[in-house]
Amino acid sequence: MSIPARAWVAAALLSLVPLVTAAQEARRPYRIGVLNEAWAANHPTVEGLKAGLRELGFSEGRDVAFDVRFTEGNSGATPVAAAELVRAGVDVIFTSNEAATLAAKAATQKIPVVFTLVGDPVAAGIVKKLARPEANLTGVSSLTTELVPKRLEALKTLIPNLRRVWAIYHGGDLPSSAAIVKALEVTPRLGLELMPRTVLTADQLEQILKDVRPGDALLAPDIATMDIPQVILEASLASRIPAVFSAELWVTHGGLVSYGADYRAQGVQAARLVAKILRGTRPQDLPVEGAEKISLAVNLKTATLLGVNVPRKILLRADMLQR
Amino acid sequence: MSDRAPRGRLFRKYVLVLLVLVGGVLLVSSLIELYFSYQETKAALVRLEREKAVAAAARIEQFVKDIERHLRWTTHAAFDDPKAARDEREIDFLRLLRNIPAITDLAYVDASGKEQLRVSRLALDEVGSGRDLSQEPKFKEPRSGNTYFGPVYFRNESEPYMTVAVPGGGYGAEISTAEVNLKAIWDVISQIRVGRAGYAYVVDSLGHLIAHPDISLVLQKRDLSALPQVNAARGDRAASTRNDGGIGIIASGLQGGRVLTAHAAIAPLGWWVFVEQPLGEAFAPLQSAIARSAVLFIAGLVLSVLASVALARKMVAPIRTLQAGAARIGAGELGHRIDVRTGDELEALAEEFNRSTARLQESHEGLEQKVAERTGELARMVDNLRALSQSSQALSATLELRAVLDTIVARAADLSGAHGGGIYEYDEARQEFHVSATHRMAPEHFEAVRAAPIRLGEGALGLAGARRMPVQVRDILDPEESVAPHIRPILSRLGQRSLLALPLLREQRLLGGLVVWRPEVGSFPTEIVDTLQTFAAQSALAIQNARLFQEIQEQSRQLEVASQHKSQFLANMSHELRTPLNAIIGVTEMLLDDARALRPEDVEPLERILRAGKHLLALINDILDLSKIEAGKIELHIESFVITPLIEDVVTTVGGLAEKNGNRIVLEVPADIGRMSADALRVRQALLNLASNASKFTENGLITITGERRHEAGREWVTFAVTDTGIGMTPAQTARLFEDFTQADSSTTRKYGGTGLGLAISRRFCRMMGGDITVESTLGAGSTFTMRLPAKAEGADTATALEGALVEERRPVLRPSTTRTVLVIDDDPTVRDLMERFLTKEGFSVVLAEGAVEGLRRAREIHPAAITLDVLMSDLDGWTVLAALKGDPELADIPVILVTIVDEKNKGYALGAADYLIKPIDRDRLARVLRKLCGDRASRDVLVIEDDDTTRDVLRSALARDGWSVAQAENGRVGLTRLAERVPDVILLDLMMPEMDGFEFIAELRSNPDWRHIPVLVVTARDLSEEDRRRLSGGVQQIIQKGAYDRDALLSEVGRVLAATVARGDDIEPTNEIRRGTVS
Repeated sequence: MSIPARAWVAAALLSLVPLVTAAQEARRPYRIGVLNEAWAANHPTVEGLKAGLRELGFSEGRDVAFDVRFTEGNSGATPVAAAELVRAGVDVIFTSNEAATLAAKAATQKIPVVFTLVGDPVAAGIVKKLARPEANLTGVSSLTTELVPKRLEALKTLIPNLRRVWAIYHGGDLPSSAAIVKALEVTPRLGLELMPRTVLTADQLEQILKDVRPGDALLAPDIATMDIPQVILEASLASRIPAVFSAELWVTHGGLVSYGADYRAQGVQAARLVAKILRGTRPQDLPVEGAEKISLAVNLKTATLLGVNVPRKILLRADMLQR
Repeated sequence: MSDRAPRGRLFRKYVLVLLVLVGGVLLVSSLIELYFSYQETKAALVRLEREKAVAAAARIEQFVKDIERHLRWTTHAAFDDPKAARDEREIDFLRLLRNIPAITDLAYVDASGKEQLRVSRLALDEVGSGRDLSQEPKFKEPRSGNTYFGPVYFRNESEPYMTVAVPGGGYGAEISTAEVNLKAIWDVISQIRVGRAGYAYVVDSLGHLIAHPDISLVLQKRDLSALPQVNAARGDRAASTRNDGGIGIIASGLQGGRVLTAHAAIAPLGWWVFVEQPLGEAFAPLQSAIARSAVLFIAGLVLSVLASVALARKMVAPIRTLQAGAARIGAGELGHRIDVRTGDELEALAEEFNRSTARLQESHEGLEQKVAERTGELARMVDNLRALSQSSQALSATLELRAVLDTIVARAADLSGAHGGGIYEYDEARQEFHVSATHRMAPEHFEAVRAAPIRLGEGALGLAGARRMPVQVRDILDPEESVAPHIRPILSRLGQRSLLALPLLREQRLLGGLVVWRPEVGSFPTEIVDTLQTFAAQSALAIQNARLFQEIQEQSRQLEVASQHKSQFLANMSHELRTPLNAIIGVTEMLLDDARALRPEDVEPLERILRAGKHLLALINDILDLSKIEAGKIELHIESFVITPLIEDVVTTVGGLAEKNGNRIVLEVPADIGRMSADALRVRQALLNLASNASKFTENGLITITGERRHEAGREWVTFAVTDTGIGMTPAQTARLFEDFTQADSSTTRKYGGTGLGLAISRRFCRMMGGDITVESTLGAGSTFTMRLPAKAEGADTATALEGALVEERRPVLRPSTTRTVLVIDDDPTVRDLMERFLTKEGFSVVLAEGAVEGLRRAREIHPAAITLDVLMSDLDGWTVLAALKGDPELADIPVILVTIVDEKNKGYALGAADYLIKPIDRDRLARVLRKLCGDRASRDVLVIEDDDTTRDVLRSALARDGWSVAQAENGRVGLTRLAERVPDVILLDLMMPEMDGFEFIAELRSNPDWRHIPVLVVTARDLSEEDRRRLSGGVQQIIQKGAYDRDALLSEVGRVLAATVARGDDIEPTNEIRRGTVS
């Protein structure tokens, strides 16, 4: 009887002594897999991601290492690259554009995926809800579909007597046709007639471009399947037909005007999500964000070439003027 | 325990007193020190949290103030010309949009509250929209001169926004509003770190969470006004304007757990920033202080324990020796002597103990001897009793007579210490004992003993039986002793010399005798005779029990056989009676058809035969039902089903009858009446009975059928009421109404027909399900029959309810397909032309659309039965059209067939296409698919397997008329041959047939992979038992019971089920659904 009583007292006293556990986390550089269909490793979103992470205190080499896979527009290679990243066991996958994101989604349900350059993540079937993405994906929506009316508005503001706009896109691109549906909602208000055309071959594309008359304008798709935006840019410059694009990139290469989310800014914005995930937040707890920086870019040289008089409103509003 | 417990008490007392003195002082000083360091730590932590909260509040305030300031700049000027004002504003707005990324929309509202200008980052700009905002707070509030901060709202359900509005213009009557993205606030909040697990969040003036590091919490729009810290902050609103309201409190955190919390106000917005840290982490530094104190305390305690133990031991040792010695003596160790050498009172006490012990030892030894003797005696008695009780246990362990007898004789021999024994049964009529079992006797001797029964009064056993008491034989070889003459040589040969015979008596009735024998000469001891006598009485009882049990077993076996015969008879009756009767009715109906055309004079007699036949069939059905209810043979099949279709079905069935009498049926069933669990068949039968009665006894009147769901006495009830405006009944008639074979009065039978059994049967079914049927009636004014059933019938368990639910879902949706219109959407005129010509030839009506946009419009207008859709079209692609169709609830159920050159079947099916055809079009396949989708049933093969020629003929001609191509077989064997010749689309199968019956046929069918998929409909006159259903389960689509239908009804039911089964294609799961109607 007396022995257990003594043992009790001892146990009670011992329990007051704190258990000092060395909660030492193994430090190592986090590995970030980058997947896109760009032609070079320094795509603006990737540059943005790196800059953003640097700003958040992750220095390259010490805290994070990047494993960049770019497939040079070869859509067949993208799923392969995604699978390689998964096999390499990266901590998080950073994707740019829809195809790369879908490839990453197909390749893993465990590794968190942070996407950029996706026009409408819900319509593309990447997440179920923006506020609470399913599974392992979150990212930045570039709002491409939502901004189609603004793009047409920019064209109309630049060329007040514009009547007809041709929207040419690849027949297999579902988001592009969603954008057309959105555009059709506003064309009457802008006094425009939209001419949606799907193409599957380069011949068809060429054929349709032949129908475009002086005085018309072109709406380039966001998705670069078959290199359609490039063809449209060339046609625009060759035939002096104004064209509107979804990204600044095209304006720096001679496009008249663009309105859309800034590539680099999307990378910076996504870096915040990547940082949160590296610090332990689950991707499904991070809502998909809308792109924060949306920029209007105008190429003044092209404007002169096309005989377009850029109004003050546009000049005031433009985030980038290519001279 | 009780002699050990006091031993340590004195020692403990000493130790305890010393410990309390030393340890108490140590403990108190440690606790005081801990308390003060706790208070200091808390104060420091709260200060830290508060600083962070204030800093965050300042940053958020700065953010908002910046926006407010910029916004006010846009409104500084006043213009007389509204257009100039607007242009100037637009320029200002555009600048602002460029400078502050957080603003997405800016609007300018004129003095009358009309929106004049809106500039947006995401939506189209608007000029002069004139939207009236005059009643909205964002217009009204700024006019008082203050800046308006609206409540937080979410764009796309994920981005937090707030409206800011400021007054401007010449008289402050115009305002500018801005939609501000608040994600910047989230970032401020997410960056706040207090320790490892500390966090910050922002709450608005209503107590709603608007920023938190875990964004998902914010998106849930949580109301935190109930949290004590939030409450406290909102409570001292007045104080908080001084911006020093944050006093640290301990409260429940946002996600449970206790936290240390501090807050600061964001004055212009009326929001608060809270900074919280879990208590566990906040007070982690305190733990080292606690550890230090604890170590000191323990060290002090150990020292004082050692000291007090040593001291106490010296004081207590001699007392313990004394106590231990006394205890040993007390425990009976009288030889023990206590040894204490302290030279004081304790030593004298020990001597005194030793002396008393010596005296005790002496007197003790005398007593022990006597006790030993008595104990021996008792032990023997106990042994005897134990043996006896074991024997009676062994006896009651079995009820089998043979085993009981064997046990008795073996136990008797054991109990008496005899070598062997025998047990005899007494034949009262012949007054003889017959041996039943022996112990340790060879079979040949047993045979010899059995050959010669012992007469009453003869030999030892005979005497014992006659005297009703034990009889002993001291020496068997002594001729003076009474031993049965044939027993003596046998026993002596076995070397047995003495025996004891006992009668087995039960309530003074002689049941038999028990004899034990042994090789020794002489009497059995009296106690053994007594024991055996008791044992004999127990044995008699056991024998009687075993005999009774045997009789009961025999009787119950006979009863079971009788009952099996009865249920077999009932099953056969139903088949044997209904089959010929069906033939009579079927042939008569055919003859009647002919007679109507050719021999009008025969019509009347044939109609009479038909009426009589139908009446007889109804009567047989009812009597069978009734007799099955009486015999308890009816089984309920409880399933869950939707109520409304059942009522509608009844109304359809009874419609013809009602129409004949000029009655109108009104249905009053609430749309949300839902489902119930009951025997759907029986509920339908009862309701049909009530409805057809009402139709029969009412002419040119109104019949109202109502359904209702109600909560009563803790249960849910479903009530069906059938009200008519017919002839009504007197109270005397209603009283007799539910008796068997009763209609309100015998003359009604002649006038209205019917068996008079329907109501009685219906009521019994309802009662079986826990409900009832009641009636209210006024003569000449009509009657109301009310059927009340529990929504979950008695005996309904979840398993059957679930199964029922599945069956219900598989029931085909019967939708009258009025149109067979196909919409063809294709931008190629050649294809359109081709499709139109081909589909028109196939019997479809075709509508054409030249492109996607027109196709969508046409689909909404005409709502076609099916759509064929091209994928590559010049305006919009087919995928978008398909998605739009499937996204519109009005159009989603229209099957869409993609007809295209693009081979992307999976994408097509994923988007909801019903089928996918690749150009060039396979016309036959297209027609087949369209026919299937439109419910076409042209030219199908059916195999009818039925042994009754007439029934088969009737089915064949009716199905052929409906466009089926029919193959026939008279039994299962022939059916298999027909199958080998040609595989039909569906099989109609009877169950009871010669050679190979339906059950065997289904087994054969299912074992052949080529035939396994063929749907089977069972059409039978047999009443299916649970066993039958089990054998059929998984093998049949549907069971139709013949007896329940007249010819036309049966045929139309078969036709309907066939069409539905085939239309559903190959993907149907087998079910065990049974359909049956009633004729009452």
